[in-house]
Parts: sequence; C-alpha cells; structure tokens
Amino acid sequence: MKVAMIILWPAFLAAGVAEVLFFTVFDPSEFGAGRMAAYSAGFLIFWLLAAASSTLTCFLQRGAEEINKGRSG
Amino acid sequence: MKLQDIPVRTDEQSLFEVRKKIYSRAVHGWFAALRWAAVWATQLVFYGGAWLRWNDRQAVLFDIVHRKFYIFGLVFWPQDVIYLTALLVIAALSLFLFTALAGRLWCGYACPQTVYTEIFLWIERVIEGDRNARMRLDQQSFAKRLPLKAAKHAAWIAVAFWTGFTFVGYVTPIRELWSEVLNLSTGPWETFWIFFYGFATYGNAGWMREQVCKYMCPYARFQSAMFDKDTLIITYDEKRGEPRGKGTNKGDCVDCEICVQVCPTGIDIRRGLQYECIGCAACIDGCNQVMEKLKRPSGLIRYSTTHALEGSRTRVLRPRVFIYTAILLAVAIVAGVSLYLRVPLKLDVIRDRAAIAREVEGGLIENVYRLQVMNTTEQARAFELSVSGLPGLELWGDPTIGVGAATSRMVLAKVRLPADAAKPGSHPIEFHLRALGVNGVEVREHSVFIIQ
Repeated sequence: MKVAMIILWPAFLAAGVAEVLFFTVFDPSEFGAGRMAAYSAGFLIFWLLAAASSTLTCFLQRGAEEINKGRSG
Repeated sequence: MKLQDIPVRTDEQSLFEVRKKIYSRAVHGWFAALRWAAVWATQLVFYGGAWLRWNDRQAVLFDIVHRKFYIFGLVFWPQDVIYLTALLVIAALSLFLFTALAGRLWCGYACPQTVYTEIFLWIERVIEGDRNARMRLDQQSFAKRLPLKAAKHAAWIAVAFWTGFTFVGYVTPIRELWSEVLNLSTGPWETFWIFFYGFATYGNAGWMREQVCKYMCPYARFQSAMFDKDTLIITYDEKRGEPRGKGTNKGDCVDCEICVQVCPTGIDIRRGLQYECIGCAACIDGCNQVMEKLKRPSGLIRYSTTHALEGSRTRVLRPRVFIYTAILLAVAIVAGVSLYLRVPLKLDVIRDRAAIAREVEGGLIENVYRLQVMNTTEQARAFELSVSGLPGLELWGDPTIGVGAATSRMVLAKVRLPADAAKPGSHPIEFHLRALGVNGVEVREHSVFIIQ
C-alpha cells in the first residue's frame, strides 16, 4: 500500500506538471482524437511514464539485505 | 526544538509494515470550531462556486476543451500562461510566509486532505459513534459490523461522487454536466474523471487520511526549513507539565492521553515538534477541556514559539518575514498591474507560405499574410487594420474585421506596394489593429514585405 502510494503520488504530481507544460505548447486538437480525449490520454501516459520511473527508483533503492533475503527464501 | 534535534523514533514504520489504524477522538473547543469554519468556507467556495453565473456563462470555468479559462470577468487564453505561473509563485510564497509566521496553518485548516478527512470523520462519528464505540465495533464479527459499515461507506461514496462531479464541473459546464449525469449520458472521459476524482477523495479522506500527510506530502517534509525559533507552533509546556502523572509533586500534565487520542496523525505532542504534526490544534482543545475540569489554567498545550517557551522574546518581524513579504508583494503587484493593463486583443501575423510575392495588375507587388485576430473580451467587436513601413504601402480590400466575443478569427490580408517603391529584398513593415468605438484597444505587430 505504502509502496504504491510513494510511487503513484509523486508520479501524479510530475504528470500534472508535464501535462500543463505540454498542452501549453501543443494544441490537443492536433492529435485528432477530440480535445478531452487528448488531454486525458496525455495525462495518463505522463502518469504511467513517471510511475515507471518512480518504480525503478524504488526497485534500485532496496538494500542488499532485502535483495539477498528474497533470493534465499 | 528543531526537527533534527528529535531522536530517531524506533516506532517509525518501515516501508512494508502494516499501519495501525488511528481512532481519533472527537474534540470540541475553540480550534475545532475554527477548523469547522474553514471546512464550511472552503467547501462553500468549492461546491458552490461551480454554480455561479457571470455574463450568461459559468463564472468560474476552466474550459480546457476550448482552451479558455473564465474567472468571473477575466478570460485567460493559452498565451496568458504567465499569469498561471505568477499565481503559482504567489501561492508558494504565501505558503512560505504563513509557515514562517504561524507554522502549518495550511495543513491544519485549509488543506483539502484535512478538510475532507474532517468531513469523512464526521460522517464516521455520526454513523459509528465516537472513538470507543468505533473501536468496539471493529472488534465485532463481520456480520454485526456490516450494516453500520455499509451505511458509512454509502455516505462516503455519495460525498465523494459529489466532489468528483463538482471537480469535473469546473472543466465542463456544470449545468450541462448535471443534466448529462441525470440522463446517464456523460461522455466517456467525463465519466472517467468523475469516478477518478471521486475515488481519490474516498480513498484519501476515508482510508489513507494521516498517511497522505505523513508519507505523500512533500510540504510536510520541507516545511521545517521555514521554521525558526519565532515560528508559532503547537507546543507542550514541558516546564509546567512535567513530571507528568497523578498525585502530589507532579506537574500539571495528568497523563490522561487525551492529546494523543484526539490526534489525527496519532502522535504524542509531548515529545516535541514532529514532522507528522499537521498543526490542527485538536490536542490544544482536548487538553484545555481536561485542564478546565481540573481547575488548572488552560494552555498546557498551546500555540507558542520556541523563544517564548525558553522565556525570551518572540520577534514577529524578522528578516525572513520581510523577504517573503517583499517578494510576495512585488509579484502580486506586477501581476495585478499587468492584468489590469492587459490589452484584450491579440494579433499574430504569419506570412503566407504558398506565395512569397507576386506581381498583380497595375505594376503592384502583392504579399499575402494570414492574421490571427483574437478578441479576448466577451463582447463582439469590430477592428480596423492598417499597415505601414514603406512609402505607398497599401492594404487591399476591406480593412474592417469583425470578431465575435471571446473568439479568434483567421483572416487573409493582401498588402500591395508599387514595384518601384523599394529595392528587391526584405523590408520590415508593421500591422496596426485598432478596435472601433473603443479607446486604447490596439496592437502592433511586425512582419516583413518581400520584393523578389
């Protein structure tokens, strides 16, 4: 639960910033799917990418003990 | 006491430990009333604001589909993103200033996490009872718990849905959205976002609560940087309280643990300032009630500063406060003045890419431009276009351009010049657009005239 929280939430914030910056420059109607759909899909894609990055951070941050523990048992 | 001075607590949860549910006790008192006033104020603005009308439209609407933000009399376009930046800077600086002066006022009274948790806790209390009743309830079998739990979650979901609906109502006109909701005909993305935001409200205020503040909130982690010994914080008066306990030769603290039971984040304020403390002052109310019963002076736990507790003078006006205030005022004034002086008209000139220059009848050279004219007011207006920069330069055709309220329009402008008036090459020219019948609404935009 807490892991999900600290992965999803910072990713959500980053996606929000990315969304504002991206769509300030690009008009969503250029993507040919309706603006609401472009905004929504854009946000979800940004969120997914940022969450992937956060996940990797969490994954790499595990200590040696945790990793070895997983292997032995 | 600084945050860094606090010894590492061994009961801090590791990443995978299960959280202990906090049953916070209801509390009454001056600060609880203040917190409720804040709940009412913020939620009247949030739930009610979406229904206000202005100029025959929704007063506050972030119409992202048409890329226009309406805030009462003001209309913001994508070009106005600088004002959004200014707003964010103002918000951040205000947060810094308030934090330096009076600690976590935002967290304690105004943060949506606090406000919705307060509302959800209230529902929980009404349905399941106060702390002890809730603890007993959770000990019972599933079947016995079910009716009350079902009622609570139904009420929570109703509030959460209304919150999600209101949120989307700031993006899609809320009256239309409401009739769509009644007909179950909301668009797929609107449906998605209503449920998304509703679910987030339900999860954050119903289930996660203090964990959001403890583990998710970046502000909770850096707010101590704004703290100093003159910052108003919630403190336990150790000199007066210790040694705690009942009986003679003890301090005023009777160790009743009320301050711990009312705490929404489950900390013991008597350990000193902790990053988990959201400054809600529930412990102050709780402790004051006990002190009153014991006929002892109130304020064993109170808003105070480290300096005051140490017996020295608290300085409200200090360099940090001056700096935050000065920057805040400067940004607010610049943004306000620029907003006030903003010309409600925008002009973009794009040279036509198809033809650079061509000769037309009468020995004239013609350049074609595409002009994007944006009328950012909410009245339809007529504008007069003129062009200057070269002797004999002329606009061909009707110079009057009508643009509807808060819309933009693309028009073609043909500009002609006698062939012998200038040398071949690129010459700077200037378009000038002026609103008819209104003083001071005019813009100038540079471009070039090309002769081959």
